[in-house]
Parts: sequence; C-alpha cells; structure tokens
Amino acid sequence: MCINFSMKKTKNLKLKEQNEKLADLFSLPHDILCGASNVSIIGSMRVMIENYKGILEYDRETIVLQGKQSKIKIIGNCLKIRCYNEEEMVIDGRIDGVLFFQ
Amino acid sequence: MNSYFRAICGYVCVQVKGYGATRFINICAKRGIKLWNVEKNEEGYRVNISVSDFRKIRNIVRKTKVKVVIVSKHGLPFFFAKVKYHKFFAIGALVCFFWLFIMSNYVWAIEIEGNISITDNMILDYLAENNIEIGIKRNNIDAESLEKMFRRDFEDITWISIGQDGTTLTIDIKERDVNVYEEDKYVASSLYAPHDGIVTSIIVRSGSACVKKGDIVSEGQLLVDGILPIVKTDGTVLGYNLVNADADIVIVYPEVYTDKISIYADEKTYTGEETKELYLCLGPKTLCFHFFMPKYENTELIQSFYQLKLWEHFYLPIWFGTGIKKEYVLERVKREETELKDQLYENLELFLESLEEKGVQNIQKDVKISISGSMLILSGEIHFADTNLLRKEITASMGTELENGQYNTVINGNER
Repeated sequence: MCINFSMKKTKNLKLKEQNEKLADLFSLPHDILCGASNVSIIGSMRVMIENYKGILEYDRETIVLQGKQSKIKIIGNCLKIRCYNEEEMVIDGRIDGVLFFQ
Repeated sequence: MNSYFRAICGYVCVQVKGYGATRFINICAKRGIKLWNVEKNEEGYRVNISVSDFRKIRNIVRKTKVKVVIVSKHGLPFFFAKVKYHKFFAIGALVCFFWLFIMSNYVWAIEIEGNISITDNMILDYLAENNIEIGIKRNNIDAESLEKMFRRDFEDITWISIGQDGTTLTIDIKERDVNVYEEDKYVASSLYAPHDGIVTSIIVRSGSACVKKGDIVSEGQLLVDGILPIVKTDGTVLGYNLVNADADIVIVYPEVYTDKISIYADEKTYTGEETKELYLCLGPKTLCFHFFMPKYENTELIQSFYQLKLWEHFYLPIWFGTGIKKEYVLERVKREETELKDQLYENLELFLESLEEKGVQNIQKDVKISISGSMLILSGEIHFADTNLLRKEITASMGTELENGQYNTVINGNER
C-alpha cells in the first residue's frame, strides 16, 4: 500500500514536470496545463483568484484557499468575499499580502 | 449589470450556522451555485444567494448539517409579492407610469436661443399663429417646414434649427449682421437725405456728389448719385456706370423736444396687509387652483411659477406657483420740484443716448423747464448731427430711362 502510494506520488511529479516542460516548449499558459492558480491583485483592495478548490479558513484577517498545487493565504483587514463560484473568487478588503505554501 | 439582473430575478441574504459552514459554501461553489458578498461573522457565514439557487441547497444543507436562516429578501419577485397586499399603491404607480408615457408625447416647454433683435415673444407669437403652442403633440411638429417658414418670414434669420429634446421644443437661431446686409443688399444704389437740414461735412468715396458743404437739403433729396455718366472729351455722354454710392455726410438739423411730467402723482401706500397664494396649474396654465382668496380693494400681485420637470429637458404639464397680494391705498401727493427736474433731465439724457446709439449726435441743446398748471414741462430745441443716410436702389426702370439704354454696373471696380 505504502509502495503504491509512493509510486503514485512519483508518477504525479513526473506528469507535472512533463506538463511544465510542454508549457515552456509551446509557450502555453501554465495555469491550464499545470493547474496553477491564477492570482490577480488590483491595488491593495482586491484579489481575484482562479483555479482553486475551496476555502480552508475564512475570517476578517485571513483567508486560506486550497489551490490545485499549493495553498494560498491572503492576509489583510476587513476581508470579504465579493463573489464566490466554481471559476473565480473575488476578495475585497485591505490586502496586506498573499502567501503560497504547501 | 450583474447586480441589476440579480435584483430583477430576486435574491436572499442567508445566515449559515454550524460547524460545516465552510464546507457548505465550498460545496455550493463546486455545484455551480453562485454566492456573493460572503461575510464571516460570529455565528458562521452570511451570504447572498439567488432565489433559483436557494431552492437547490436543500441537499447540501442536509449533507453538511448546517442551519440556513433567511435574513432578508431582495428583488422584484418579493416586491410583487408585497404589492399584492397594497393594490391601490400598485394601481397608482401604474397610472403614474402610463400618464408619464402619454405626457412625454407632447411639448411642454419652448426654449429659444441665439436671438438678439427678434424677441422671444415675437417667436412665440409666430409659433402660436402657426398653431404651435405648449401642449401640441410632438408628432404634429414638422421641424423642416417650420424652419423654412421662419427663414421666409424673418429676413434677419440666416440659420435656424428646430429640434425636440424630451418634452422641450428647442429653437436655435443665428441672426444676420445688419451692416453686412446693407452692403450686400443692392447692386447699385444712391444716397438720399433722411430729413431736412444743413450739410456740414461731405466726403464721397463712390458715386457723384449732388450737394456741397453748407447746402440746405430737404428730406428725400438726392445727395450722392450712384449713376456715373461716361463723358467724352467733347462733352458727349457715352454711357453710364452704376455703382453703390458711398459717402460720409453729416447733416445738422434742429428738433423741438418736449417732455412733461405731472407735479401730482398717485402714490401707493402699502397698508401692510398681505396674503400668500399658492397655485397648481395643470396643462398649459388653463386650470389654476387658488388655495386662498383674499378680498382687498387695491392689490398688487407678484407671481412666480415653477414648471415641474423630471430631468433637464423632460418638462411636465404641471406648474407650481406662489403669489403675494399686497394691499395698498392710492394717495395723491405733491412731488418735490427738484426730484421732478432730475427726472426730466434724466429722460432727456436717455433720449439722447438712444439716438447716439443709432449714430445721431447731439451738438447743441437749448432747453428750459417751465410750469404750466399741474405740469412741469421741459422744452427746447436740440441740434443733431446725423450721419445715417437713406439708401435707395437704382432700379432697372431707372436704367432704361438713361440715354440709349447703355450702362454698365461697376461694383468694387469690377465691371459686370
């Protein structure tokens, strides 16, 4: 079981690497091929995120989202989700920082 | 745009309570249920969700074991549901909307711009003669033919544009420059004396002078002729050139001036009694309601009206007005002689100023004030120097009267 899991993980890593190479080779967007999250920040008052799975944590100071490759942490004040659907999320408020972590 | 669409379709603001609140909104997003204005509070999440999506969340609520409470309802479906219990309000709103729609098909204001010598009243009277008044249906106005009529009947209008903006009929006018008009009006013309007088100065630029300095002229006398004979060296006339006569001629003439003013005058003495009136006029000032009716013998009425409008050019046929009626008593009083004299001299100055604007200068005045009965009279003789001359066109019939009928027309040195 343990061997199976590690095999699956290496297979996934290999696939990811291949996709990245392919994206570089044909100048294709990474977010489509590798499933990377697309984060757009407008000034310090709005963040738009695409390619994410869901919310992990939400309060007025921090929002943690599960991305397809990593977790995304938005730090700020008076944070509010303006729009939330399958495709994108719009967060309003005073944005202090955006952090990516595993 | 999205928010308008949501308002039309209707949405609810719900409070999601429970341990699985975060899971609930994640599943909603995954299943294509759109959420907006997601806010975290102490109890859980407060989210907005459309009415159609709200019906789909039953299974998710059961699955995540959360409690969903509707906080507020927004949008047209809820408005109509409320209106069901306020039928008269709904009928009133519908009637108002219908009335606005009907009223927007009529003209309720006329705006005139660009007119200088042609007054607003002249234009409004002309429009009224052609059955165009406030209250006319917008479709009944043929702007193109109306513009043609204006150009035909008002010679001074060089350009006119008639348009409709909301319930306002807008008329833009450009008037002709009078001086340019005079110059271009005739092909050939002569100058004549406008009234009796003495010629004190004459400078002829074009045409042949028929008078000289010091001559006494009478009204209508030819001063500068626009018909120039072409004479051979032996004195025989070969033909004639017709020109626009041009000259600076000053004619001095005396005029008797008389102005009188009564020593006694009826003066209004206000009693201090006054009442305010309110008006509500529907239609083009045909139906007026006076809310208060005062009963005074002599009253002075000051009225002001305000026309209701929805926005800049959308006037409505409703006028609100206020009026103040002041009671007064007429008293016959004797006025101060110095005050009356000042007034007479002021009238004279105004008269002279108005003439000066027309190019008639006052060069000498000999006036005195006398009292006759109850009147104070200012009379005397004033000498004016007039530079305005009468211009008359040399007509074709005058041309045929000339010898052999041979003549040329010379304008600005070019032969025609």
